Amino acid sequence: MISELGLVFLLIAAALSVLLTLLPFYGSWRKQPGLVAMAPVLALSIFVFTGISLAILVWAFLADDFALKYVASHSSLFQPWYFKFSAVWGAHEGSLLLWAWMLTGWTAAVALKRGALTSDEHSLTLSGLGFIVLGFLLFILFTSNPFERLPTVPVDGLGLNPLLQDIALILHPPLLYMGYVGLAVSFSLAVAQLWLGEARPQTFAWARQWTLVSWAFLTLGILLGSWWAYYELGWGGWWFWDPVENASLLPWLVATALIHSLLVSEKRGQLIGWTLLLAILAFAMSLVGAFLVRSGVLTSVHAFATDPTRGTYILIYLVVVIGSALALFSARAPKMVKIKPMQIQSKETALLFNNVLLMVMTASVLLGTLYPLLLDALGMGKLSVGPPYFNAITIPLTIPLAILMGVGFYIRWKQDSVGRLAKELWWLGLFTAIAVLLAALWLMPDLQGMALLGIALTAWIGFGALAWLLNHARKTGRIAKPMLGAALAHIGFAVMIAGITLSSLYGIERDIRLAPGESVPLKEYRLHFQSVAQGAGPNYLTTEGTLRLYRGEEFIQFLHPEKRIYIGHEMPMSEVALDGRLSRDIYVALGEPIGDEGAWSFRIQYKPFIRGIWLGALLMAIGGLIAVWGRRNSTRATMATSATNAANAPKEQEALK
Amino acid sequence: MKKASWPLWIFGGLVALFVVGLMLNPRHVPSPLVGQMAPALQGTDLLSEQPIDSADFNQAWLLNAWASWCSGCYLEHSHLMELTKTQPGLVIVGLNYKDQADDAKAWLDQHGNPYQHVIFDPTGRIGMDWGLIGTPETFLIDAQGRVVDKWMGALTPERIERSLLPALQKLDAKGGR
Repeated sequence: MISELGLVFLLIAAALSVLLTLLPFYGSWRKQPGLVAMAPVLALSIFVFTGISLAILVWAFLADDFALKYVASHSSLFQPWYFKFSAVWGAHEGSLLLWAWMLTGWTAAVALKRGALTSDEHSLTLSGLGFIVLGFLLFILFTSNPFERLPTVPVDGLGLNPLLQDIALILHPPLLYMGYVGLAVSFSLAVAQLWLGEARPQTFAWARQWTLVSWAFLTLGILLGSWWAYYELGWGGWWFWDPVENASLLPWLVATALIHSLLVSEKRGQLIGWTLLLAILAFAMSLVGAFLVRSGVLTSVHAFATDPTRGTYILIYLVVVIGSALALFSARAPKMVKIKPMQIQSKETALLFNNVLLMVMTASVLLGTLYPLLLDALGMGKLSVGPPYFNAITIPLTIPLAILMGVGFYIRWKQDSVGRLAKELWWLGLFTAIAVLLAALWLMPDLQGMALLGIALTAWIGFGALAWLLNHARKTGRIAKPMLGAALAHIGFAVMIAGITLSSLYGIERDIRLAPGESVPLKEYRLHFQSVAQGAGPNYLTTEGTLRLYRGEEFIQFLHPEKRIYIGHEMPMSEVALDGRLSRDIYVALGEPIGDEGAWSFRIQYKPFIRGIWLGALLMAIGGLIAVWGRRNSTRATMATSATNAANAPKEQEALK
Repeated sequence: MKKASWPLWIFGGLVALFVVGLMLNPRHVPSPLVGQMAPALQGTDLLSEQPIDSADFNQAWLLNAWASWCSGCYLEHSHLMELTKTQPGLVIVGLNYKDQADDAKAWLDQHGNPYQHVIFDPTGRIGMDWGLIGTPETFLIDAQGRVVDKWMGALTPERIERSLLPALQKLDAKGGR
């Protein structure tokens, strides 16, 4: 009975979002502050009602209410409570409800934090968000009702897909969705700006804060997804260029470009049309991703169970939301944008290059992802596009991006010169050269050009960001949080480059057979296979291997790779055993028994500095959040200073000459 | 900045692609065999243990690859049984793929036998000639020995209705039965 209420609350929320779409818009148009003032109450109520609906679904899972089809299909009695909980978003319907609820959360937050926005900007942004919320709620109500009942109540549910029964997967979807829907905020604001036809620097500053938060969440979500793929799928890869992964990378790339172009629009009043377009595109990529993942147009190892009506709905939604935004863009942008010439040697041009590189990367990843669909649509056959393509395009694009990143902090706005930069940054080149030299000595017998390049870029970005931060701290006597955040995010990227380069070039992967009592050497380590035993977990049977890891003669630890068979699922799941250190991972996956003597096959891997990949991503996310947190406390102060800066800029420029 | 409508056009192209994409099935993998002469099917009947050769059929027939261990085969089995009633003249030949003879016989005893012949292929050798990707998989071969169409995965009532029966009707029209 209570689950019917879940649907009722969703209906109420949908009705309220109609009001949220209309009232602030009408109020700001007709100058009726009374209507505008209702927006926060509406936004909060939508948030609360959607939240109650989600809570009811959560309750249905925890209470094993198998009368609900969604619960019966994705949960079971013996599933541990935390996996019952995460099963709520383990498939399409529930994850969509979570998605919608987070969107209402962002909307409520925007309603409460007007910040530097004008009343009109604020009202129209809320109105846009109300419309987006409405679309999601209708999507759930029409095509994806998680509260649908079964005619007969089964005794037990089918259970959550064992691959998803994992701690990282409890957090991965919520974080990712936070990022996806967060981009709706900068999207709505961009549409509001286009509608109003004005682009104030303060508005861009505000948009940048919100974009940074969703970008940070997106980063964390992708990080956890990659980490999960690494140790749960049992192949030892951390990124597969699968359409679903690309669906999360595309909005991330555009959001990264957006954060940087917002800076130019805020500080210099330039690239305004471009920035507004990026804000639209970032959210468009979120929706395109949702379409690709949930409509079934592409095959993927982890696509949702698909249904063409859902695909049709998302497509219509995409056309309405993004199509109208782009139409508005094409009508208004030309009038809003006054082209001011930019100096080639300036920070704004450097950031423009950054944007171009990121967008070329986005377009190439999108092309690779859609290429199978394109060929199929033209009747030219079936194919899949794999890592060789994606690596071949992303790596060469990352190199100039990384070179710019190292010096970006030092380039001056308006007018700078390569000669001046070279004079200021000679030490950066020197430090990088020293780092490369040391790395070459360390890698000596097996020296690879790409590895040295990776290390050079890491050192270049890392030293550049660190020195910039320290230099400022020395001059001003304190560490400004926005700077700390920016430096950390860039250093994170540097660490990630090192992780990717070293683990992919110097990693060792071997498939081996071991009988009990046998050992196998792996770099300076040795793996000793002791035994295999059967066991049982709460909802699975397991075959667990025991290996001992030695370094020389020193015992390090036991490793227990497992193969699990979950109740109701036939596919065995591999649980790898890891000995992880910052400097390297030792990775053991249990294969199949071979012969009658108790021998087993194993996949063993040695991955130097692979943790750098996720550590780097973590630093990036933390950097983003620190930057927001710092700005939030000093928004007013910064606004005042940037106004003075703008006034003084010409004078400073004179003085510098 | 004069023209700002190009993003809209690109977006329109993308949407057109998605519309087409929604109408396609990415899991539909066409077989290179379709339109070609079918490979010879020669083997031993699982039940009668007599040699079987597809050259002797002289009429249109269905080849259905199945195994007792395959859950998709169980799903489609009742629909194959149904087909023997609705299409009494149709020859359905089973290819028992990588299976144990006793398991396969027991399975047919339990669930019914829609096949006129069941060719036993324990090693998967015959399946390889036909380019099997998995079970169940079904081929339609016309009287001249040409592969007309192929269905991967379980035949559902919908697939039979929309795709298999029309193919048979077309054969009737052309005299390919």
